[in-house]
Amino acid sequence: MGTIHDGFTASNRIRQEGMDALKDVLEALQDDFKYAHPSFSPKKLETTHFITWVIIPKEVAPNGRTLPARLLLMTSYTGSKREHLRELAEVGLSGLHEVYKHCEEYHYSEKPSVENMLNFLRKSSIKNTFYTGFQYVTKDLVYKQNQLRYAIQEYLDSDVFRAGLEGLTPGQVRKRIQDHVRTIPDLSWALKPYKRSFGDFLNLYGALIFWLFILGGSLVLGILYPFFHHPLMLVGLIIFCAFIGLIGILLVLLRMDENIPYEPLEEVSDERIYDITSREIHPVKNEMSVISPLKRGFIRRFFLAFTLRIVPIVRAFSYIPTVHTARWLQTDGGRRLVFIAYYDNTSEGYAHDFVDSTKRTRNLNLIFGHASGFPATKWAVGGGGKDRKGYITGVRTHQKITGFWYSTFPELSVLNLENNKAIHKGLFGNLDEKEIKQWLLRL
Amino acid sequence: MAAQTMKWDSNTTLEKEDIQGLLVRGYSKLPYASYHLLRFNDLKDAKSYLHESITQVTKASTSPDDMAVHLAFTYDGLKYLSLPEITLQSFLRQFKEGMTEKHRSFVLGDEHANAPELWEWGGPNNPPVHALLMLYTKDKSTLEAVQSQHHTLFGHHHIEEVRMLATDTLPDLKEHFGFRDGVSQPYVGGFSNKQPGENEDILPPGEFVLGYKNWYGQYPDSPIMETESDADDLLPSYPNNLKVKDFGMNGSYLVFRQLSQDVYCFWKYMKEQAPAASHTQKEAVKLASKMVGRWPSGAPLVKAPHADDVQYANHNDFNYWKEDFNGLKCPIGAHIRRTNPRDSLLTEKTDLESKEMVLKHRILRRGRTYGTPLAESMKTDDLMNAEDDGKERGLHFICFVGDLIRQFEFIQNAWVKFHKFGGLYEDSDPLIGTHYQKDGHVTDTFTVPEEPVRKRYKNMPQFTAVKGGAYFFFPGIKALTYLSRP
Ligand code: HEM
Repeated sequence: MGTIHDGFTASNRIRQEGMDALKDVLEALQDDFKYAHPSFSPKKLETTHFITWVIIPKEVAPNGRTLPARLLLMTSYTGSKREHLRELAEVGLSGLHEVYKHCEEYHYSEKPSVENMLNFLRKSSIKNTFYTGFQYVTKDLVYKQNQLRYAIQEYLDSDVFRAGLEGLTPGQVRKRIQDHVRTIPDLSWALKPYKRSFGDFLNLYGALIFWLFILGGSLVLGILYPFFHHPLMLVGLIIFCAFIGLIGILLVLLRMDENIPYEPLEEVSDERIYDITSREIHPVKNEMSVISPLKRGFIRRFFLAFTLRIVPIVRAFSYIPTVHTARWLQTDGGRRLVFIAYYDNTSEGYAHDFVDSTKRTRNLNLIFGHASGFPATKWAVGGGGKDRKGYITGVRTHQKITGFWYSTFPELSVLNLENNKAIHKGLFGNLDEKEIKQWLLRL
Repeated sequence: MAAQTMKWDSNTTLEKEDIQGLLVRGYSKLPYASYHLLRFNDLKDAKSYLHESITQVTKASTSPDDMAVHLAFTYDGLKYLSLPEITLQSFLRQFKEGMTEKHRSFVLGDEHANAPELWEWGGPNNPPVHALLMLYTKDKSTLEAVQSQHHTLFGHHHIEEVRMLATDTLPDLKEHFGFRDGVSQPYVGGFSNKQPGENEDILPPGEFVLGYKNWYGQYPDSPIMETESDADDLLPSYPNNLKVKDFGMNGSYLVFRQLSQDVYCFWKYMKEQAPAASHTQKEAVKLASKMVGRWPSGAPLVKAPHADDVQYANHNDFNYWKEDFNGLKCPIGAHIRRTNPRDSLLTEKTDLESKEMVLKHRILRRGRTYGTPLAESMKTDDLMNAEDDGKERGLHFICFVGDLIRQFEFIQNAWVKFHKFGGLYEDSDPLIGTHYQKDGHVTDTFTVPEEPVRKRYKNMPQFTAVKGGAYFFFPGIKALTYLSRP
């Protein structure tokens, strides 16, 4: 199975008369977070890390356009999308049928075949920009790496391990641990160090390298053009200038849109905030969906679409400290912004991660700056989230109560996942003494 | 050492005539104190009690040598005093809902041994509390005199003293486990004339006092009042909307939690963990100090990693990122490293980015210990050898914040309670976290990073338990005067 962690999103219109029934179905499937409903048991899904179904009510955007009620299905998976959808359709056929009965694009009154369900899911699929804090590990590997860490922990606590530790070099200490792991047949897979494949590398950096190559190459060619007048160099010059020009035009147009006065949001009622936050009852990981129509302004949806294309290219450098996965997308012809995230601990702390750091506030503005009622930005990155109160009000106003959500490994934080991976990587990895010393500190 | 961070316009003057003094000073010169939880029984009487007490209330502009008096109110209390609805509604949600609201108990870790159902005051099974009277004096006799004066006033004004919470100052400013407390406090611009240390960060007063700008350059949310409701024109205008009055100006939110400490259990656990052939007492002190992050004298582990060193007892000019990234000196999970991670958050990429985050979550502590010490001398050896006397003792934890959710609740939730803090797996704060094992979640481990590998201390009992608590509003003098008017 491939190890690239990606997001799948399906968007469908909800039949007006089916809204209440749909809410009931989602609640039943959620099953008080036990996930033991007979028609849908997500725990059986091997490819899947996260699943969310969220309802967006019908609403009127600031430009007066009515946006329909929608149901979004957002999953995250490792491996190929094909395998993931097949598994989803096979394992969840009855559950999916119960849910989608209430959507306009779904035309099966009786439970359809897996193939039909697959077709439906594919047709409903829309593009999303996906971020994950733990890349390149399958669900199975996450489980195993945690098992490995647990076994090492137990061993480190034992008298057998502790006896005669003094005077051992870090390498010798690691050797003890390696020898112990070798004795456990269930951990034989761990003898091979975790390694990112070339495919993973390409997945992470490929697009960036490609674009750097194109832009860098065209810049160099463009610089040489006045001296050599070669047609290829002219092409380079044109590509480079076109790119810079495009960004410049987008920015100037956006700046004009930024000047359109917008209606600031009403303060969110205490009851509403309570209704949202009191659902965060999980000791480690929780979920939030923030969905909003865009502010007025012609260029916004294009600017946002452009930004959402750039994010995956530079994602190797983006870092949101407590996020398991997040995604951004546009629906309804780009007029709605959707954001969901699974994060450690509560949304209050998580929301603050963005506004308490200048750097992250700038990144946040690039996307959330377009959401209706969000504090005004300046040149896409300035202002905005700097108004902390306005930002939090924006988040809470547009936050939706998620109908259903599921995540694997509810007891592991993002840092735990990262650390488990590093333990696996270093156990039999090729490390020098200094690196082994650091590795031992991870245990 | 990370450079000083400052967001304080030195042209802003604090209206110290209107601020209650406890906000700006902890009254080390007034070691005797008691807290009185009050319930009003008649509106007119309550107001006239306030009217009579107001003259005693200590302003921040004076530094008293003999006595200080302060008053704070719960949401129920302010409701009782019939503040206009619009004003009541404009208090912070957390204050209105109260400390014991069900989901808040989850957030704060008030579950299991800390559950409000078990509290002695402030919980669902206890009588309501409307106000908090705080008395500080230079000696016992003055305290008794002022207490009796107020008891007489309570009688005259039909005020029920729901509970009196006594305090006992321990030698060398220690708390009951035997550690020096109250060393580290944020430096707040405008609070005192004392110059900040070279690397000391200067916090804007709006982090703690309403009516002044906070880190975000914004005025903290403050309870407002319609101009008509302030017929005597007592209150200032609200800086965010000049058409209304600012009832909160120069006030603050006061968090009160009575934390009972099981000193016997604490030291018993430390001794039990000592390796068989070791100097048990020394090892026990070392482990306990790892849990606190300072030695009993107050010396921070980052400065004195191997043994206690009194020359560092008051030392507070240190950081973690460069000095001790892996926690080999001061564990990541130590109480002081959790409650103020300074420049070191494992979730950030640099010390400066960490500091930028951490500074948004500071509190101003004003708590006092209560109960007699388990061992008179408060020396760790004696504490360790003492028999369990079954007596109640602990800390009346008090802190001030301008924003309950961003400051106190954030610290208590994300740093103290959350067992995944700093990349840990099963470690809630060793001193005040919620320790349990349930549904696959384990939170009662303490990890001490060491070379070559860490030591883990498991099945840590709960050394402290919440016995009572409430959120109070600590008004400015003008707002207090407003409350006292018929
Ligand atoms: C019985 C309960 C508690 C005990 C025994 C205790 C003990 C201590 C001790 C010994 C120190 C070191 C002295 C110092 O730096 O001032 C300290 C510091 C501190 N404590 Fe506590 N504490 C308790 C409760 C709390 C609570 C409930 C909070 C807040 C949620 C808290 C927040 C802090 C903070 C912010 C510091 C200063 C850390 C720093 O700036 O380095 N403590 N505590």
